[in-house]
Amino acid sequence: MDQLQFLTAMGITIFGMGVLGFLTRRSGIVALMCLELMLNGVNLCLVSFSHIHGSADGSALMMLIVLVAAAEAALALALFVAIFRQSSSVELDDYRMLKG
Amino acid sequence: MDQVFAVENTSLLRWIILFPLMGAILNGLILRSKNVKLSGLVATAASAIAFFICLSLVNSYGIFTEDFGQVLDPWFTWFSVGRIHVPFHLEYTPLTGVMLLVITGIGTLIHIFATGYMSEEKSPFRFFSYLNLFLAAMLVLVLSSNLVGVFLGWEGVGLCSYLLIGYWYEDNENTAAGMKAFVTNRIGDLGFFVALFLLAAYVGTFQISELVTIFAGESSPVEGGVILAVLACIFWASTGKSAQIPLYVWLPDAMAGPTPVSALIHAATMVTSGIFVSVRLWPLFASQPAVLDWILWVGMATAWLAALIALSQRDIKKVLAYSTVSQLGFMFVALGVGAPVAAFFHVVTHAFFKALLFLGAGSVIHGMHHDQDMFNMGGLRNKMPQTHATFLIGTLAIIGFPLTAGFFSKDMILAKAFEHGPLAWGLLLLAAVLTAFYMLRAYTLTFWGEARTEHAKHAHESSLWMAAPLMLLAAGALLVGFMETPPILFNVHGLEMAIKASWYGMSGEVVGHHGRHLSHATEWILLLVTSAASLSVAYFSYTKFRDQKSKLSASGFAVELSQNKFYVDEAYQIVFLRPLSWVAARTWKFIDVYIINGTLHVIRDGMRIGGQVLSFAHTGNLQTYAWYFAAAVAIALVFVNWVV
Repeated sequence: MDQLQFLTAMGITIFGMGVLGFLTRRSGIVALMCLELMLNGVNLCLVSFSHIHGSADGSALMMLIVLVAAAEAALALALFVAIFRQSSSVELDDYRMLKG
Repeated sequence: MDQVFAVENTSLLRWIILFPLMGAILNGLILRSKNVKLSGLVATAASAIAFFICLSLVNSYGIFTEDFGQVLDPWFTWFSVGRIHVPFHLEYTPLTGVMLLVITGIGTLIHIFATGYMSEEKSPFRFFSYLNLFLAAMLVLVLSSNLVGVFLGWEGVGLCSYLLIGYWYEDNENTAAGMKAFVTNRIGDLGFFVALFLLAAYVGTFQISELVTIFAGESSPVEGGVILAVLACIFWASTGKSAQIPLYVWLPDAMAGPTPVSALIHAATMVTSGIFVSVRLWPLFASQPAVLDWILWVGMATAWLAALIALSQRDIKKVLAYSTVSQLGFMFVALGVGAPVAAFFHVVTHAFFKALLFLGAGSVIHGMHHDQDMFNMGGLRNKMPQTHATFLIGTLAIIGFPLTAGFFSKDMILAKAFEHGPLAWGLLLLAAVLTAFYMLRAYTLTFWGEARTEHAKHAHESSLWMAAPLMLLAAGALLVGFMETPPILFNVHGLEMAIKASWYGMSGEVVGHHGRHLSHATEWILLLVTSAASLSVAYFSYTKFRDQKSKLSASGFAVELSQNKFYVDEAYQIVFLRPLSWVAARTWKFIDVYIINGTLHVIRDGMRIGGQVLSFAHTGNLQTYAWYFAAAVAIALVFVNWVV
């Protein structure tokens, strides 16, 4: 198993952990962290595939994504703080107002 | 047949229509004045200007003339679709000229009368606006050079008739009468519509001049059956507008409208439009004798039925209404025996004396504080001397007193009927005798004997506004007969020339017609028999009703029948209206409620149940949706990898 294969497998594994965590954990904060995991798994794959093609575009794009993700994480955490102040809970099960 | 006429163009004709139209707009939309004098003045002026334009037309183009070209006002093209080209052109012929003078002349007099008659109205501008609009529509009908324009006027007069019958719309009876008139007329108008479609499909022209010159006779480029169908349809339309069996039932009810309306629309002008159109198209009718037979017997039956009903009516306007229906029957009989000149002659004379009678009745009703029952009148001759004198002249004219207008026209119809056959003549003579009886009954009950109620005791003569038109019409009722007289008396043939000059050189001889020509001796005998019969019955009727103190109406089965108008309305109710409303109710319940509503309900319920079922999937929990999403991605991956 060469280095590229390893990196790809690693990216997929991180993505899969993120998916499983997002689907099963109740806490909104954890769900948010799992979201970041998924994003980073995909980022790792992006860089790897870009490297296979001998291009630096993937690395450049990755920098942009990390930047945006940081901003997004800050925004989402602020939202959760606001939600917590409203109803003292960040459990996803407690927010079912859109039930049909 | 291929004769080319000198066509003269003028833009004068459109103004005859435009002035009444402007009067209607000015009164109805702009002034909206509650002052009856002002509204009346505007409307009368509009009508009078139209009359003077007609006079100048007649003066410059002639009316009693043999040699006539074509006078056209090419106004604008109305529409043009494919090979159907419909210009809005107006046309003057001598026949049109006579009709124009009658419409605008009598119309103006009636406008003047109405200014006095409607003096207590709350919204007189509405009345005068409708009246002017009616004139405009009627003039379109008369002036149009093609049948589509005639149809426009035909519908327009129907609309105005509806508006004016229901003018006192706060009374249910009036609005019902208006709707009855409108609906009955629509049934007739369908015939006109079908005729237009037949012309569009098979003939390709609506121009009256082309129809008359090219499509009449044996060398017609289309099959005779088509022309026959067109004429039958036009006749059907005429039975509606001109109140013949089976569609006459609206006219007596139309008397619910104000009396000047009855005089102008439902006696003098609109109801004669069926006869006018037939005379205009006469060479076509003459080429299809089959349709003339129907016209003859329908007219005869109408003349009789209406006369029998008129015998026992108590309402003075109802008597006049049924006499109108009966006289229209006379005109159709004249058409049926192949005498369009006699028919149109009677249109003209009838316009004068019937307008006179209606206005006289209006004057009486005005004096009687809107009581129309003749049994409540009596003895009015001293209280209303002018009305009495003019009404008497009208009565004498309608029963055919020698040398009055009605005498000449009725005698001409009877003579032509005799040429056709003794049966038609005999029946028509009896109908004329009935006319004498019921008209003298109405006259005597109203003006002779003792005053039978308080109203009659205190009746007053009407103002000069109302009396002056009566006198002018009375003069007309005495004199217009002299435009066409029999060979044995004066031998004047003005109207005959005018009408024959309006057929674009066609002769108007009925195909296969072998009418005998009457000798002078026969004419004298007919004349004397007619006059003697009418006058003796008139005298009998006069003496019978003059001195009667207690019992005014007879009783018995026949009288019951007559008083109840032969139960025709009731029969229509049972035969047509009830089945129709039964079908309508069923259609409504089955198609509307069951099928259409049912389908919509099924769709609605399906939506609702489907929504309820699917809403179970909608938990509101973010992670459920994430699961759906993951599952969908998984399925898509499997599909992409292994299935495709």
